[in-house]
Amino acid sequence: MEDILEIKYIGEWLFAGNLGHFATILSMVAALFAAISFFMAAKEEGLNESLSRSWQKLGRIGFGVHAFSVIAIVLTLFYLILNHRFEYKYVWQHSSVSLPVHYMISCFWEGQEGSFLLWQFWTAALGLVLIRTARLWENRVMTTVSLLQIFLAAMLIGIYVLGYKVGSSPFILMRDDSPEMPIFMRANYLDFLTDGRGLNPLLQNYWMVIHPPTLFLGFALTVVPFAYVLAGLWKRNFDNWTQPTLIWSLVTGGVLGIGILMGGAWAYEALSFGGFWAWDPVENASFVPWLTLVGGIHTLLAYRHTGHALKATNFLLALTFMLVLYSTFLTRSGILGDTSVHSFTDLGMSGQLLAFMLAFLFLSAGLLAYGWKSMPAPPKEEATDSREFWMFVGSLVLLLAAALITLDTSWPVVNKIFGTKVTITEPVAHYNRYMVWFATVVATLTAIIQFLRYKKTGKSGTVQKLTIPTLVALGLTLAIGFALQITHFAYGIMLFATLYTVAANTHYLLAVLSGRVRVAGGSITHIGFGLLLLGALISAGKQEVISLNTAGIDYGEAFNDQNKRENILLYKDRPIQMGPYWVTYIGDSLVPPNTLYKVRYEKKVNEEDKPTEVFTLYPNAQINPNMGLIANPDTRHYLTKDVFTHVSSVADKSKDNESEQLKEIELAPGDTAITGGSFIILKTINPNPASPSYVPMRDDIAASAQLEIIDVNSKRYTAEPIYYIRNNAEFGVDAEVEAMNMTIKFDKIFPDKGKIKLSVIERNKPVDFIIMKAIIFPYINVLWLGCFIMAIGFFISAAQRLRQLKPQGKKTSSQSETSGSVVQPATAFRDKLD
Amino acid sequence: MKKSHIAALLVIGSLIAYIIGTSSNYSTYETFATAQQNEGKEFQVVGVLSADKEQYYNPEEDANRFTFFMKDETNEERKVVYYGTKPTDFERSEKIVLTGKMKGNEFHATKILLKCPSKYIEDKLDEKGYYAPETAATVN
Repeated sequence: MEDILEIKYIGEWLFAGNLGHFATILSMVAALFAAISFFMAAKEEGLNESLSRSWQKLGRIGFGVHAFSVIAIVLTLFYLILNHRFEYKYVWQHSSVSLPVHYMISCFWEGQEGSFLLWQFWTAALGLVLIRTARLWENRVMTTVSLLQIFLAAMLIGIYVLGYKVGSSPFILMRDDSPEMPIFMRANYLDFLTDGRGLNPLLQNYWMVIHPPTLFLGFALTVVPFAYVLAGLWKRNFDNWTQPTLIWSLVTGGVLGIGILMGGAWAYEALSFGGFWAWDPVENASFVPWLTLVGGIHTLLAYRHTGHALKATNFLLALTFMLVLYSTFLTRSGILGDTSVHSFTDLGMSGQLLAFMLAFLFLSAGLLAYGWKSMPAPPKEEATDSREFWMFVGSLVLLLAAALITLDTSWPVVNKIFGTKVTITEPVAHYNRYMVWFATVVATLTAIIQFLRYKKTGKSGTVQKLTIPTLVALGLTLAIGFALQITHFAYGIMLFATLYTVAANTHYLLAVLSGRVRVAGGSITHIGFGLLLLGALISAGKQEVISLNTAGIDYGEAFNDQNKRENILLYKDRPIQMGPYWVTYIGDSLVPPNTLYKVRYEKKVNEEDKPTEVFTLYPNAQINPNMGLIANPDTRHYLTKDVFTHVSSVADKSKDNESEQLKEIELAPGDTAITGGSFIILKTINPNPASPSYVPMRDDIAASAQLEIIDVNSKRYTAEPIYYIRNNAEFGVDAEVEAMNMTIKFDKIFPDKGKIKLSVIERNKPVDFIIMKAIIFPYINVLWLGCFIMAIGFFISAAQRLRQLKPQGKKTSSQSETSGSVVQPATAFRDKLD
Repeated sequence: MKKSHIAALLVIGSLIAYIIGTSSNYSTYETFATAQQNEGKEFQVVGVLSADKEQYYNPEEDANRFTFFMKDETNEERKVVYYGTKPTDFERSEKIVLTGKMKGNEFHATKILLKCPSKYIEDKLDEKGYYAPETAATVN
């Protein structure tokens, strides 16, 4: 070690790294300072206002310094990546010289340190917004936000405390990370460290530039409703609490929803599992908080209008943030290793993550217990025909769905704790089986609940109002069900439920709200949600693999056909029929680092027909030294369907030399044998063969095998090898199948078995082929449209609440129409219209 | 709050009903021996590739059939028939997770999950002291 210390390394940029490292420590210290100051400020509120204001000022300064240092970390790291400073481990690990600049930003979320940094960055930005807008909630809310920032900053400091490594710094030098490497004995080691390992090719996709920041913004946003919940519990006071909490929850719902679905879009565009959702633990971990958040938004609405369900709201919103922490723990601790296709690096910080999670768990559970009794609740319970009761039930259903998904995602954790070995063998089928029913119940409730009134619906004609949407939904269900041949019972029910949601909420928007979009955020969100479910149901439920392999070995009944023979081999220039298309592999071209495979689709019934439509797809693959073949699909998009194609395997061109393959087969007349590239059928044994190469003689024992040979393209050939015994010696006349480069020898006859023995020699010409899979996803655009509408709906709702919040501003339409009712404006508005 | 208590109880009830009703969907990580005892039932088996035994994949014959030998955690070795394409870099896997069932003496797998060391502990520099994609590509 002493030797190394004496080496004076050449060419390192140490200043930037030191600056970055300093900024990580400063960000943590400043967050700590801010947390204490805001805590004191909140504590002094109402007791000593001037002292409180002083503390608040200190808190703001502390948080400002914190935000500034987080930005400094981000900029320093980006500067190092941009300049290819490979002496830094993070830069070496996640970037390379050839990486295009627009993907350099993706380096931030490939590594664990970078994704914590991103989270910290968003939370810092949100903190600045809260300081400006939260007013009387600022001190309490910012205490929680600063507290979170302490824990996030601790993930990045990378120093040893009492022998335990706290955090992992993105500014660690390669030579400090692995000092034992001989290369670091050289002062000029940077001359050799010329390139980085590069960015995971799967992340080199445009969705990966926008999906992680959006998702992390969604994750970061969940702390705001959480902070409001803790703030309310802390002082046991929920006055003026509902509106800001609701606005932040709605924004979170919209952003998190978009973030999750962008992940789906990325998976669909860039991954080859074929679909937008695979119930992978990582996907589940981001989806579950969204479910509880949506539940919390609805109970919060119920509370706002009736005073009911405050406890449920606080529980659900606190749970949402806890689930975000739990999902971080699941995906960052390496515990999911065996169950997920995502690769996780375990930085040995599981303990720290666990402490992080438990700290917030105790804090929120403690405050919930402390404030439980103080949460106001009306003495009278909800009426069974009230809107709030059914919203509460709907939220419970969402919570149940979240609980089940969490349970099924957590089996690796359960296994670790209890030493069990439980696993789910077919996750997609498993989750779909029950989520279909949850989707059905939630969608049905979404359709009906808007037509109920708060407090008590009574005989206000809900049934009549629901008549039209119910009939429309029924009609559409029958039409779509027949058109798409949806025969699965559960899918049929779900189809109705989703259409019901769309129809009922559209009806509500048009008939009840008279199409006023500004106040119809809820209805629009629900319409989007219904379309999303509808698109998911049809595109996933009726997806059709058209590359079904008809050649090959019969697998027997032990396996159902589905999912087992979905890859098809395409020889170059030999068209194969797939569904409505004739598909030809035309050739490949190298566009480093990818190889593009050109596949032509021609829509026609018979091979000789003139195609009605021709298009070419370029699924590509990258042979990556770290990850093997990375297939990147290519998709032909239509308004009503997508034709999705990816390469699953390719010919190994390095073995281009002609090789010979010998196979010996025994056949009885009528039997079929399989060789490397063909089926061989023994039609009959001809006892009187004749051929230019064989002239029968007296006392010969002779026979020929009349063979039919079918190649992979179902082309048929015949061959007739001859076998004869002359003067007690065996002879044979071999048959050649020139088109297939095949020789067949007739070796023996076994009269007792009634069989003959053939030797088949196949000479492989250098062949070029690809193995690919093609799937048609019908109506997947409905899903994307639904996502889009749903997100817009969330933001319309949030904007509407924001307008209501501004007391001295222009009166909004809802307020101006308030009649002298005792209920709050929005309720009165709806009630009046109903 | 009585009504919401009832609703909550219903939810818990359906949760229990669900767990009982779907328990057959769950499986456990098992060995070949257990899978053999319950022939035809689906299991996940974790193991390592028997590198010395024959692997057979001829896409021109059948693109969806790949056979190899795997040793499970108890070191018991079985022939595995996988109904799909041979994963690239299969030989370099350090751990294999199979989903499937026993049929006779063979394990018929419908799903393979590979754990490649390069994916997870890729932090070591190569012997030359630096990482260069071109050199790594020729390893295969």
